[in-house]
Amino acid sequence: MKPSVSLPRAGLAAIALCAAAASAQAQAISLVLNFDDVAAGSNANSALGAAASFASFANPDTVLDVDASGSYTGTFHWVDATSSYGPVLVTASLFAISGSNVLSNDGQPILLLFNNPLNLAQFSIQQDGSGFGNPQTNGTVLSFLDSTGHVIAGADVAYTQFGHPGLTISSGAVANVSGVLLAGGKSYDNLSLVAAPVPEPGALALFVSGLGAVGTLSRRRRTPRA
Amino acid sequence: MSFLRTPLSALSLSLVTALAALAGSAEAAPNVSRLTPPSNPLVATAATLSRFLPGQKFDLQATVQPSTGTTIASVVFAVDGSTVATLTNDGTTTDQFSVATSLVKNGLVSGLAAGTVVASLRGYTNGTPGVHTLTVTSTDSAGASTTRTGNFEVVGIVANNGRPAMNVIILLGDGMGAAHRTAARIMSKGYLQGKAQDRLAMDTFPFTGMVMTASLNSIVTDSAPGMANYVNGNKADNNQEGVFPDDTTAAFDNPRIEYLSEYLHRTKGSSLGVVTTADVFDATPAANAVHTAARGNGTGIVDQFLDDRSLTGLKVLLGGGRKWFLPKNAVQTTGTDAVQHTFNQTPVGLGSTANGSARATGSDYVLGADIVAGWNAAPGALDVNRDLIADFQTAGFTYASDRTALANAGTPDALLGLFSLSNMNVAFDKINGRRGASTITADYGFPDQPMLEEMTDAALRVLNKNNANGFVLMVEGASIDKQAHLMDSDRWIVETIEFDRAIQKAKDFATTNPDTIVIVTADHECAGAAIIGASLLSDAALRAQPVTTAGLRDQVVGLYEAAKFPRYTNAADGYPATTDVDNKMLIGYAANADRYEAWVSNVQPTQDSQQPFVGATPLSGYPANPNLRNQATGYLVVGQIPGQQAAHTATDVPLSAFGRGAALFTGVFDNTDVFFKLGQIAIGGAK
Repeated sequence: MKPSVSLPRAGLAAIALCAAAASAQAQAISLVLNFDDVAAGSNANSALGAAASFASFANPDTVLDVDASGSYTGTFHWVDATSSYGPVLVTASLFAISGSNVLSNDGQPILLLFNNPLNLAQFSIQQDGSGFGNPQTNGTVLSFLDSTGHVIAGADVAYTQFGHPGLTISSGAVANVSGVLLAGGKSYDNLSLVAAPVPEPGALALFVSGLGAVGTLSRRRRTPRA
Repeated sequence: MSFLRTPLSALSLSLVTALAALAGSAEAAPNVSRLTPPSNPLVATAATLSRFLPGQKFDLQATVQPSTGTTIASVVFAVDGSTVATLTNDGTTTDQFSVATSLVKNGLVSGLAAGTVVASLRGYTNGTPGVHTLTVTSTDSAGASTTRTGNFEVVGIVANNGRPAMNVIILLGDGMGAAHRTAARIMSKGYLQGKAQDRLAMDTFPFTGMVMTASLNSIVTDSAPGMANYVNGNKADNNQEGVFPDDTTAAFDNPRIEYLSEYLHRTKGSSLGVVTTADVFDATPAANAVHTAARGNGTGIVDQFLDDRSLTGLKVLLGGGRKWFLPKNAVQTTGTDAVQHTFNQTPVGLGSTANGSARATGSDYVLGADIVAGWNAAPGALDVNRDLIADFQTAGFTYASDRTALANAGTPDALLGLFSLSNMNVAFDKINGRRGASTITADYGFPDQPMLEEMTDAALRVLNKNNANGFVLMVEGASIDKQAHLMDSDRWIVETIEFDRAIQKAKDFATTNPDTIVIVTADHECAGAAIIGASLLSDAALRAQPVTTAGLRDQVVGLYEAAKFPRYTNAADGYPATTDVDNKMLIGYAANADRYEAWVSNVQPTQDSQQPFVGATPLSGYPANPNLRNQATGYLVVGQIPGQQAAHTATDVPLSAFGRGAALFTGVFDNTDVFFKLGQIAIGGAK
């Protein structure tokens, strides 16, 4: 059993990197954020603390997909468009669930990006306490993105946004996640995730062959930034 | 034989009578003569008539007529087989109002059976996409029941389909068909060697489609449903805004449909701005916020703007129409009083107590408790002596009475601007007034009126203040329509140019605020306007022509290559230096009433019947209508329609879009489709 390793805390941005006991995976990551230990108006990335080493908040936009000949395919993928729209913020809100701050992007979607793909074991976040949001019954979705910014098929979590203040939106395990897309229309509070880095094929082969423990994984930037 | 035949015949007759009685008994059940929302025939191929966004509020209503000798005992509404409301008649003749439901038995239209009830469930919502079955079952005092079935559709929103539009700007050129746009381009930008030398702002929008404009009861709509269908997704009869037809005579109790402004305010906390060059009670501005079956009920309409601001998020209301805001009993003062409530021109011959107020009990309303509860609506009051400007100010609105006050208002949290007693003066007269070339605005008593682009700029500034939740802004170029009705070509062309300058303001805003969708369209075409060519003569020669058909038609109207390219120039203020250039552009009308056509611009506008002092000097001296105007200087063009003004037409109108989700506005689509495109863009997002 490897010893647990904790990164320095940044307020309530509690981050722990630990090796799961007898895990076939690399070090487990847990992240809990309530956005209350940074000043209202701050860039949301400042709430990440040490988690900024593997995650960031992005103001997203879509880009239409094209095929090899340059023709539109009718699909799109998400990209980091923070440079166009400005950073996602932590703002003070009467509708905060915990404390007084929420994660806000003026009703636009919010993208939680991972520097390297993660195998999510669990993800959850709460809607703020307002009654606002998409009124469609079970018509809003929490989506997970692959390294190309496309939604990972079958992983969406559907829920009803409007009229459910404080609703906790939860997901179970989703593999190879490079981003989590929080639907527009709401601000959010109390983010929580448990994950592990995706083993590199070579390292996985080493594990599978039982030849050694997984060392520090080399990292590839396969984020959907553009 | 005859003896025998007679009893047999009698027996046969008895059998027939008995069968008829049986048949009569089978038919002796309530008759559901109207079920709202309206449905198409229930065949598989029929498009769903009534459509709503998920969770959009609307009313369910049924008119139920009893059979002879019975009364209606109960009315039950069900959606997809599940009961949503049960209304029980108490047997009295008194109207019954409860929380969100009502049985109205009085004040019904003529022709209904005695004992008819209008049953309503107010503020119904359904968040599940798909076609839903609506049934109403009525049982009478004899125990007989009738069920009528209809349907409606909830149009789904595709989630996470891109960034949602935070702001929705609808620029509505009233009556602006393709010809109106082309004429404005020719006059404002110029053509040379077959090419336009520049583009209108609306020409630069990247996506354009064509809109079908019919209303619920006609291929030719008026402005009330013509605007409302864009912002609530449903057809209504002409003259109705934000409601479905019903069988009561009251104008404000019709089944409501939630507006885009109300829907987005309720679901996102957005704000609403309404800007118009018309009287703010007019159909187009009102059809963004006010629910009434009678577009002329100005007192109640302007009251509802303020009283239901908690439903719409109203933050900006700019236009004309001060006459509805002035208390009836206020004494007229000339000049400008401390709060600038009053008319500052002394009309001749109306007496010193005339203050221009048009408030009247007959155009006001009080709502039933069902609407109040179902919609969280203000109940209303019959209050002709209400000082509505003061009430707006009490509610936090900064009031601007003229252009100077608007410019000095800064960026308040909320803004009311009423720049004339009724419809504002048109751009042609406002700009000529600013140039010192005309006294028309002074004749109206309002010499310092803003241009539409100035009003739009102010509206955007206010709405974008503390704009965390977005806004809906409707800007209307109102007198494109009003002057096309009057076949005053130069005035509607300059009005279109003014409207385009407002469009540029909206485009500039959307460029710096990219989460904004801007659409430019019309509610309908007006007058069947067309650019038929250009004058063969100089302006001086045209004015010297003999006043005959030969002199003013055959020797003037240049067709095809004889028309060449009319050359206008713009003054430093951005408007045409004059519309009376040599070889000027000529306009014809397909939906025309009789008119005398002299081609040169009319020094005076034609009388506007909405102006409270139209019957007094100086406005009474203006030409009364197009078949009296220019009788001494023009030739008679015999109209194809009766009446004194040109009419709307059923021709499709262009719609151009810019910004977030603009790509959705291509092809040919129904006017109600626009609402659902906007809903997708504002809620589910779009590229």
